[in-house]
Amino acid sequence: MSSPPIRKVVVVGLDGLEPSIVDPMLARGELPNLARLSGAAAAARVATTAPAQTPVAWSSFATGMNPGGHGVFDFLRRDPGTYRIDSGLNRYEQKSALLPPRAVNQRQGETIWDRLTAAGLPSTILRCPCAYPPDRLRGSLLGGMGVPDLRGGFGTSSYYTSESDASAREAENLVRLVDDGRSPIDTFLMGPRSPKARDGVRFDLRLVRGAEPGVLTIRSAGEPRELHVREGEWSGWLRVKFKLGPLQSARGGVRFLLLRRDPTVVLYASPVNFDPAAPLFPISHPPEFARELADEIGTYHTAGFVEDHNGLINERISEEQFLAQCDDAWRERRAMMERELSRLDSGLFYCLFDTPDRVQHMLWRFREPDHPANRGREPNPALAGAVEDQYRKGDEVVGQALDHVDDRTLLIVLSDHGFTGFQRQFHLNSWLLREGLLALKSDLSPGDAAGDFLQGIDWDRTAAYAMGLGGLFLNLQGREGRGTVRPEDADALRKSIAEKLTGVRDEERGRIAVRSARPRDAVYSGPFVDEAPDVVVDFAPGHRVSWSSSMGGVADGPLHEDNTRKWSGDHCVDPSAVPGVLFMNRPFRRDDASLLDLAPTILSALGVDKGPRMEGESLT
Amino acid sequence: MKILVIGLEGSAADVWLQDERLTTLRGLMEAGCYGPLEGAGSPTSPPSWTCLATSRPIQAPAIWDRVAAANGRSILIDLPAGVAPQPAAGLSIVATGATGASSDDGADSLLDASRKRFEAVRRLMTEESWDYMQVVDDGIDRLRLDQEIARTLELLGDDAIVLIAFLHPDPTTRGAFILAGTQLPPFGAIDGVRVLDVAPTLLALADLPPPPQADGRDFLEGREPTDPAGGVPGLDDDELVRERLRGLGYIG
Repeated sequence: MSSPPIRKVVVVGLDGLEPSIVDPMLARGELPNLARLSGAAAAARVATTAPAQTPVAWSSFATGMNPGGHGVFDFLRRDPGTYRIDSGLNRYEQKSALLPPRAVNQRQGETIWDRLTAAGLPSTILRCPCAYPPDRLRGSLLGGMGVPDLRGGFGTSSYYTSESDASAREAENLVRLVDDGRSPIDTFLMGPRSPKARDGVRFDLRLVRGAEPGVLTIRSAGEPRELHVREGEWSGWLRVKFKLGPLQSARGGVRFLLLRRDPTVVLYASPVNFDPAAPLFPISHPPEFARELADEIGTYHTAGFVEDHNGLINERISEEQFLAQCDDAWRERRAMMERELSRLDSGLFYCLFDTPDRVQHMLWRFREPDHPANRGREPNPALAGAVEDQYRKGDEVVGQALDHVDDRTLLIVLSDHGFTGFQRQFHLNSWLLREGLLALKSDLSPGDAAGDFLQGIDWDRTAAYAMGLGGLFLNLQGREGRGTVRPEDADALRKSIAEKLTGVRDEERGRIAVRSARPRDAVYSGPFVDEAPDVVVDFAPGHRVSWSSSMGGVADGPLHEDNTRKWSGDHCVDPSAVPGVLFMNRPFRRDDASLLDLAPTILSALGVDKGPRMEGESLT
Repeated sequence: MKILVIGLEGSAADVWLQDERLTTLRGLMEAGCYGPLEGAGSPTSPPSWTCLATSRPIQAPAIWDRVAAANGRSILIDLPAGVAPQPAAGLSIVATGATGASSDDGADSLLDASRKRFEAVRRLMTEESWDYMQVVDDGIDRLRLDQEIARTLELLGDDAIVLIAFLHPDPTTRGAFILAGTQLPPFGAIDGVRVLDVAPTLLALADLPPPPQADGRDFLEGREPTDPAGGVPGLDDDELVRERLRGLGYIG
């Protein structure tokens, strides 16, 4: 019996769903909607990219190409000429002194929706990573990971306190309050930087204690004029307008969490998101799509990172408060999906739910009692099942999507990579230092003195350096600003570094930390290979590149160190150890499925030829 | 120094200057100066592209004649018939036909013509050698044109002046101007600028004398910048780049 031809393809992305968690939950009947797709079988595995990172993997999904074909290799990128580290998702270009710098998407290559557009078919793409600035297409697209907050970054929160010994933590503005415990407090929200306000433009706030205990009123020129915040609860949105100059303004939205009202106020404010009704730069295509969505489902988070992991990393908010905000993320994403699926009658729909990834990063330690991040922290048995709860929420989303599936719909549910613990960090730059491949400036020793952002490195005596989460780079003549490695020696050096790194052991744990390291030509092909790490490092599960090395630091002490941060789960390991899961409502080839196969699968289902550079094959 | 004049005809200037969504124009206003553009004096003669180019209410030697005298080339694109003679050096091009097509043609065809016009502008900017370029468009769809202007300015290089002029055939509807330059400090809002003053001002900025029989004057002469160090902010420095990355949990 042949199936009727496909009219629409619905893709639900559940970021970071790990097969070894999905399978037992399926077997126990805890994921009933996914079970409707898989039948009696376990979840199919889908090979992820090298490195196994969200922006890289979804870019390969979108283009059907390995990173050498689309140019996204890591969350971080460096400009080889200046060694400056910047975002790997988009970059800023200033083409004329008369124009402000403009974001340019780092992802290149032809996407599924480019091909569908050319074939006259519509697409609705919600929150695909590396779609900012928004791709133009037939249909609608809302940007996801890569969309900045109003200060232009991945997300800067604010912490308000009158305690004199408090200091700002990572990605945070510390705002000091003058609070006598009774009177109204005048303070401000920090906005975008401008030529006239280097720290940022301010938006005035007045905090007033209400008669009701534990309630604070935030008065401002924003909307609403009076926002009531209750101790321990996230507020609704305050919509604000920052005056950037006499003629320019930027609109944003912010949410507050009142941590304490008495005796003195301690208040947390989320990063300021672009107002979807009037973003500073277009975040959707067509530009008014973001506003139309807000008109229907209410205002929503627009920044690339919705879930407030920094508040939890900085230990400003609790796990429960983080999860409460994650619930809001699920809710608003589901509302977007419902609105769009109910209008879809042909073409492609894609929506990514990022939340399971963020929750696993932050709460993985509750699955591993021996995790170093648990040391010195109170156990919290109530959170032991927090990760599985996220999988159940993902399953509910699948149920919601199934309500819109008919016999002419191809439904695809997948994750971009799996997940594992992050217990031990490896100081890759320190290893290079010990191997004599990296040198520090003469007066510097490893550790804090060596700085970060590659600042401490003596380039004239350095052959290789590490930054980012996926590998290391040669200091190559003609490419790097002060390269030392001659191009004719590069291949041999890549090979010899890869051989030395392969099998590096963590003796304290008595196991291999680096499963393999591969020269770039063994991993990538395509026009952007020269932007790839020269050596790709495949860590064993449980291990990852260190916090310090990822930011271009050179740590002192042992090469392997415990990871004690709340960010306790990760997936930046050997890609073969962290495949994603894949489900469809029609039979498909389960063996050797790869993210690269999804673009050809979707196009073929809709009767469109795959792109000439797409590497995979249709799975159906 | 290159001078680019973008004329937008028939649109209400106030609406453009008050629209915060037009980030390119807003940036130019902030970086340079802007204000109403008054007519040539006679209530029956609307401010015209002729006065703008000649500083006279009638046909007279124009900006492009001065540019040619200094061995420069001018390119004029879709100027209304009668305004643009063939410049002594350079080109006068009809990219898509004159603006102000009859309303029977509908907005779609005007939009289409405008798209083609700006494509032609950008092609000429890169393929031809030029010192003065002027284009006149119908000014339909502000958001789209703001982006067209941004894409056009990207090609302008680092020694250039751009003037956006809004003129209306109805003499009771005010015009307006925005002037910005890569080497020009901000002057803020300026009142009392006449269409006649445009040509002498542009030529003065290019170190050229005014048109021979100019009625207008350089409106920047004797004026103090509002912020000598101001202008469009440059690309972010190291500290800003760091802050941009800090919220990424992976790097702590």
